[in-house]
Amino acid sequence: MWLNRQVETVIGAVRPVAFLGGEPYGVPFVIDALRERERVAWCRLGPRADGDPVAQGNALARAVNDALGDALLPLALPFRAHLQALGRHSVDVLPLRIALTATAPHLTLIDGLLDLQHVGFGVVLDLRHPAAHDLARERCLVVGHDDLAVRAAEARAALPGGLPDDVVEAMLASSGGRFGHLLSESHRVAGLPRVLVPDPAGALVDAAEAEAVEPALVLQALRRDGDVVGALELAVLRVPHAVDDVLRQAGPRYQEEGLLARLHVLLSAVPEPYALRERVLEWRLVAALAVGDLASTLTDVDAHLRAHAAPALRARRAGTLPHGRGFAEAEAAVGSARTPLTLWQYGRLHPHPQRALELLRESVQVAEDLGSRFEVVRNATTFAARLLHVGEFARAAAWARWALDVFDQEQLRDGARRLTLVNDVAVARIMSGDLAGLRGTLEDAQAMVEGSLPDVATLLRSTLAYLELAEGRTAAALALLEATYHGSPRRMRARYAYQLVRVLVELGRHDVAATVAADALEIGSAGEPHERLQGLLARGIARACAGDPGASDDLVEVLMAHDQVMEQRLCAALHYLLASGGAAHNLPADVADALRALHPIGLRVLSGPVERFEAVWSTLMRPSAHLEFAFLGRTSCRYRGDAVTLPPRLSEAALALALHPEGISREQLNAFLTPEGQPPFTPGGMRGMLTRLRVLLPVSDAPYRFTVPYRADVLEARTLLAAGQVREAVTLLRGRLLPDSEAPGIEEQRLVLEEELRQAALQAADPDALFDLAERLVDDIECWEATAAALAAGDPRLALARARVRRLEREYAHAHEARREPARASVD
Amino acid sequence: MDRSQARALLERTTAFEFSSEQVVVREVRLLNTIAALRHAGATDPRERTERDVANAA
Repeated sequence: MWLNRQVETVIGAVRPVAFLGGEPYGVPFVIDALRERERVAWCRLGPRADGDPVAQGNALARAVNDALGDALLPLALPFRAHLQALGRHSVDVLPLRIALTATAPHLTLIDGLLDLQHVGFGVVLDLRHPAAHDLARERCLVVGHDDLAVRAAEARAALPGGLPDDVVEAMLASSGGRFGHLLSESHRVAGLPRVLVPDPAGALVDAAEAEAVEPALVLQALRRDGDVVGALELAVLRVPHAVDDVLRQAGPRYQEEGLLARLHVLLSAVPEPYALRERVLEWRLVAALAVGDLASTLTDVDAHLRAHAAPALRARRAGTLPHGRGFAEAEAAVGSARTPLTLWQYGRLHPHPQRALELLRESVQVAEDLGSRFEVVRNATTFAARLLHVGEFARAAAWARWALDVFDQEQLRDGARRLTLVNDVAVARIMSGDLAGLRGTLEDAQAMVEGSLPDVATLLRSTLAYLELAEGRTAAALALLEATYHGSPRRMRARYAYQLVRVLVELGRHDVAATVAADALEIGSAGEPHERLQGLLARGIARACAGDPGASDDLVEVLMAHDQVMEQRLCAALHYLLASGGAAHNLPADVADALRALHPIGLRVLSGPVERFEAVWSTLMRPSAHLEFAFLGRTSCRYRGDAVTLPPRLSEAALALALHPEGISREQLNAFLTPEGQPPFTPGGMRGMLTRLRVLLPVSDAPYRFTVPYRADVLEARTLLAAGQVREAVTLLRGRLLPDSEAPGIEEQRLVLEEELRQAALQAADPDALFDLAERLVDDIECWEATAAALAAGDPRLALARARVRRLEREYAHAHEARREPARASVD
Repeated sequence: MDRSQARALLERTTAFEFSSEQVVVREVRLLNTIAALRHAGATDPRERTERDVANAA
């Protein structure tokens, strides 16, 4: 009765419920009972995580993932990222109630959790620290001691049978109505087994039954149970000689779970001589670097390195030094031992691009043979990033995607690292023209970290802007890049400035572009050489598009800088070709080669207005057809290099001709264009339309066809589908075939194309293509089922796909029931 | 952050409860593991103290 009363209070409340009675008043029993009625994600947070948004985020992520039975939320991200993700995916995740037991204030987390009620989540709080009580009174239905107190009738119903009423009443009086005390006392009196208190991490024995155990034995048990995070904390506090050994597993775990700030505190507290052990020094350095407190460890680290080879520690130290000295240390480290770590650092810092690539490739191999999966992913990620740096986009995409697969299959924890990897995959794939599945992944990632991980959010926004450019949405790219540029720190200004300038110029905002470029050059000139070159690139782009003869000088300096990121050199080269009227012979060989290898989508992203760059592209790409059409999503037409604007009806006629290279008769064309129920074209009307088309494009007499070779995206899509190139087809078919047209021939072609794409994606079982398509088709359960089957375990999209399948199954079942109900009523 | 500051912060925020240098354990799973370790009577070699190691040597 008591439990039922409390559970009904939670379920019936329109606001979040905060219990202010804790364990003595039996709140854990209420949350546990609630779990039998609803899906509840329950986490417990103590003082260790208070003020640490990542530790709070980890607890929340684990609780939600346990409740869903799927890894929707990664670890190592601040809790706000998870709140964003829950809000974004609420339709598929709900119904879900979040329960928090907090023994420390955790005010910002609680505040954020309470906001979840606005998107449909239930929230129940078990607040045991008085600092959180005011917040609860302000925003929750508070259940205090009076409401939690057990009533006499409830006590008789809840306590073990056989206890006389007077005993029950005496116990009730002595417990003050506290359910926890009452239950445990009644079990003791009745000779029943001890009461276990529910807890998110498993049951607890009653406080009175707790055991005092020697720390070394607890440490051993924690390690055996796999709780190396707790084990390290206990070792530091009570078993310091074990710290070195515990760190073997605990160091990587703290790193993967984003807990380096806590690790820094822990290792700063280790007494000597244990603090000076080699592995302890290594992790002290890693943690100190992460929190920007290197000074506290460098004296000890450098003293150790003067006396020992210490390859792992030396390799870590190399990463904290200025480039030249860092490389020398990395070389010494790899000279002592070729490990996944030493090879990775040596390759990362190697000044010669080709040698760096060889070393990083080797570091991946060695990590696969000798290292952990985390090291495999770290090394492969750096290898892919280096390939991106030198402009080998297709290779970079392949390696980054493989690293991401390993990450997901091994269910690694470092969510922040995963997002950076997602970004690298996206950049590499955009530049190499493979856009399948990118939009959903990037938008999810960006929305997740917006407001909580500003650096990663900026990176993802800039990549999303590239995707917008790749898909021809320049205005959308501008909005993203403006936010990125204005929110960027000084050292990143020039980097984002050139991207912004490139977009401003395309939109004809030359004055603003010139101002941004001038600012970027001024700010970039105060920084590292590469920042100044980025500023020069921004100015060069603005000048090239404004016809300023000074553009070439700016751009040549950038494209000749061999250390500069290839993407920026390519952008400089394209604008240099524009400014110089196509002086391709002046380009350095590596830039010329990379330009020729660049996918047309990459060219588009790094260039500018189509009408200005068409001539530049034509010097790099296969010769253009005389006549080119785009009918998917947007309509465009170019004839002999000039843009031709086709009104909707002429676009439909042009598409009809494009789909019939052998020619189309007047009757066929009439049937193709005229919607059912509308009068067909009269012979005069048809002639008039064809006359208007002929003014613009070369069209033969009947049967009508184009009299010059032509290309059309819709034909290319058909070719790709026929060849089974599903990813490419998905990329091309992002837009629907003349989406506003109601012409029957076009509607039929549109449906055929979409169904062919759907079937091809289902058959190919390509996870990116399927996810992309499933998101576009929204409620196509077959597509979502295939997506769930194709995605790797650990990929966060898998949790979403499964949740969507469950929701659609529920909705279809309800719809089926609803259809049956009236029929049954009529039979009855 | 110096050692004494870090130590004080840890003592204040640790998830462990101590009583006379012993750890107060309430988690059933952990108690079961502890019982199993006691029953086995073996100490994990990684948990030996330095003096144990020296004696063994």
